[in-house]
Amino acid sequence: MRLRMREISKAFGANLALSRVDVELSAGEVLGIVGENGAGKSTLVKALAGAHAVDAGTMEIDGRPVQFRSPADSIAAGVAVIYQELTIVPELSVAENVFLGTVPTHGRLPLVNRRRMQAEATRLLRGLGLEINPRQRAGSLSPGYQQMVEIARAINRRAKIVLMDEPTSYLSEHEVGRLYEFIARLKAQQLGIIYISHHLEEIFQVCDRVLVLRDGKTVAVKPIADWTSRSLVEAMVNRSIEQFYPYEPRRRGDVVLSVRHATVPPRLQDVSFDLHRGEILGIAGVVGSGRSELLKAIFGAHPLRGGRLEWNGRPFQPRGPSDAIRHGMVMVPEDRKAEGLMPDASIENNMAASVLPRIARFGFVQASLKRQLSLAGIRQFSVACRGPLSAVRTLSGGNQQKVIFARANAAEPRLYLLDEPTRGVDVGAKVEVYKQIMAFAAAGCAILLVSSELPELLGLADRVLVLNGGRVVGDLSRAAATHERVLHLSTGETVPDEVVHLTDAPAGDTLNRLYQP
Amino acid sequence: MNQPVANAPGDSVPAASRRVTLTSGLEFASRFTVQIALLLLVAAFTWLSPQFLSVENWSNIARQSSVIAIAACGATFVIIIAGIDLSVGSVVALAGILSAGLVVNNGWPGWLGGVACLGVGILAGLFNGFCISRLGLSAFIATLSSLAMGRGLTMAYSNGQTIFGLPDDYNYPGAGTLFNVSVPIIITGCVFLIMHLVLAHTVFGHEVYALGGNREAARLAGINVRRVELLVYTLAGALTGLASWVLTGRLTAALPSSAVGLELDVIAAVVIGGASLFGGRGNMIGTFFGVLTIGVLRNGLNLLNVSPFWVQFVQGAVIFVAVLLDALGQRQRRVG
Repeated sequence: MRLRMREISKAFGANLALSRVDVELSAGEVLGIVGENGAGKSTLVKALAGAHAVDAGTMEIDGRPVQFRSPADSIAAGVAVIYQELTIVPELSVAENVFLGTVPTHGRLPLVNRRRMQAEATRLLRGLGLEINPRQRAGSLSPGYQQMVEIARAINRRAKIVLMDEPTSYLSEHEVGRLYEFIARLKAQQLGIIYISHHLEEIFQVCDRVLVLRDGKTVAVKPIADWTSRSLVEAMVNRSIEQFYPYEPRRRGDVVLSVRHATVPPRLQDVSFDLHRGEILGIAGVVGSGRSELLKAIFGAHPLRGGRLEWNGRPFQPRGPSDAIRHGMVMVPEDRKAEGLMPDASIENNMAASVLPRIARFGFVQASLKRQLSLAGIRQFSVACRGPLSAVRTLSGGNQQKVIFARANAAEPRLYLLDEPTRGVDVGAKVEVYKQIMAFAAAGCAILLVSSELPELLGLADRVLVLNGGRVVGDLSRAAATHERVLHLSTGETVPDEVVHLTDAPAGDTLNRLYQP
Repeated sequence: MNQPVANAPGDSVPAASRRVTLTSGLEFASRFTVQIALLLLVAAFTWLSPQFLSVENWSNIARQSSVIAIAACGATFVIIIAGIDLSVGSVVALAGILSAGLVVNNGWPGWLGGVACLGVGILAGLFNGFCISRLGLSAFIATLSSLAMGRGLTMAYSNGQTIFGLPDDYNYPGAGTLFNVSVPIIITGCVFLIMHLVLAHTVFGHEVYALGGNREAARLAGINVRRVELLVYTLAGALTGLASWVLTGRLTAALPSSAVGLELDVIAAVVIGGASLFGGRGNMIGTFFGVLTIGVLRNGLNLLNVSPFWVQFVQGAVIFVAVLLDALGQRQRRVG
């Protein structure tokens, strides 16, 4: 047994991220871990990587008990974590990358022993079946090979367990094939491999056993032969949440936004759809499916490389976010800290940022209008704060998000582009955000809603557009958009030029076609 | 009837209120660090030197600080957007030399020479702003090259020679008096007032803070960040040109080697005034006290006959403390 984790628990405040999870991993085995966002996968990864200390439970590696207080402990114990983002130093050679931090020297002298480094790197790479010149600059390799160099570095540090978290996010189809071969060779070398992915077809390709997490608990662990893609999806899905969403059906108005063949290489390919007045259109898809790029392209924050937009019946080419806001669009960006807030500025100044010219006279911002605006925003979105002059940095995540909503709302938009509007927001604030979204739609605004939380998407949207690999693979009405189907479409293999259109309850054979693994 | 415990008389109440006073006292101290430091300095110099607290000496301090002060007003904008302008000293010298040359060698009227001085500053600022906002160069590198080019042009144009013989109307902003007050002091006061209004109350000022607080958030909120950036550097250039006019007029001559290292004094004044090099924080009132702190420090040490080498050391130490406080505050905000 390479790894044995017993009854691992980890809580963040009142939120139990992992609850008595058991993981067992043999030498020469690939264990797949699947689950929805928030199921506890990333917490489990961080526990193994030594980035989070666990609250309870024990870990053994090769039969010896271990305890990780830092990532260094984890590396020393033989755990290698390969994240989505590569940690290759592009300016150094392949050999230097393999020996990063463990450079061989001339005895005690602090001089790099280049010859030994080259020789050992060559031997290591050959052993892994990698035909790479160790003198080559690592940055000149494709992302797939860079990733393999990174794994080679881990093996060079005597890693026994390799943990891959969404390893194919940045790989081309061809490179994914190479990665599968590479994993087979790692298995032959008796390493234990944990493979985490949203893409079920990858799980079926590489894994020997699959563990399903839901709400921080192990739902099931079975050999891959005992799973079908349908049973796997059903095990991942949580059906308990329905009444949570204040959904009310609305009359659908005219088309306000037409997107035709929108392309933003490499993330978005030929996306077309119509959005109606008063409609909430949900965009489903895994990370990297092109969801955020689509919103940013409409908003003019990313240049649209191909295709065209029509806004209120007229061709529309946003020259930038300020232009889009003038035309009545607003965006609530995905990453609140990096893209949403000026943390040191006051609530008032954050809320007024999009409408400064409107509340100014002769270029001077009218303090009274600014105060009126911020007090109205605080009231409408029930922001819990000491007053409009508090720095937004001092607010909770939910209240910070409300400030961004208030800013967007102040611009009096006709289209809301909402990217993960409830990420990192507590449950109470979530419900309030949902109510506001419903109110926007009821007032006749069009809404594009991106969310990784499927229940939220299905609970709020009138219609769901499913993106996979930058393409539209499904256009489902509210009635047809079931949890299983959306998950299946967004995690399945991409079949270009085939869009599933479902407007009402599907016929039996369509369903069967969908669920063929 | 139950009385709330906190209202009951006893030992706990004074203890609690004492704690409150201590924390609010600390808050007060961190908000008014510059003002408190300046007050301590003034007290110390008053005690050590009898001449220090005279009207004459203070108008001296004000006059000597005016060049740094005017340039620091522009630099406050630059630093709030998390930028930096290293070319201040060179641009002051270049604008001074070119405008003096136009007046003395080409026979331009003095006042027009002054306008040319402003113009050179604006052009230099536009160049910096263009490189940073459109070409995407880092502010540090772009203004570092302007620093070298500006000084090089100054030397090339003047052959390293001082230009004398400037007319009175050119010298007026630097050497004149109005109602018994020296003109550079009046100009500095006006610049502070106007720039305070611009920064604190205009749309442009709000956009400057937003850009410095979080560039991407400002962009997605609909602020044209590249235009704001260009305007900030241009404004800083214009004020640098004005500072040059005041300096050249005060000296009644344009020296090609003048204002070497002025940018460091200017940045120091802004940072001592509480602006953050990380962007998003700072204001004109802080900069005013920052400039005054440097002025008082130099003047006081001078009166005490401290060697200029030590004056330089002390000034460096003060900057160190200011930057340290900035970094500590930044860390605390990140943790909190």
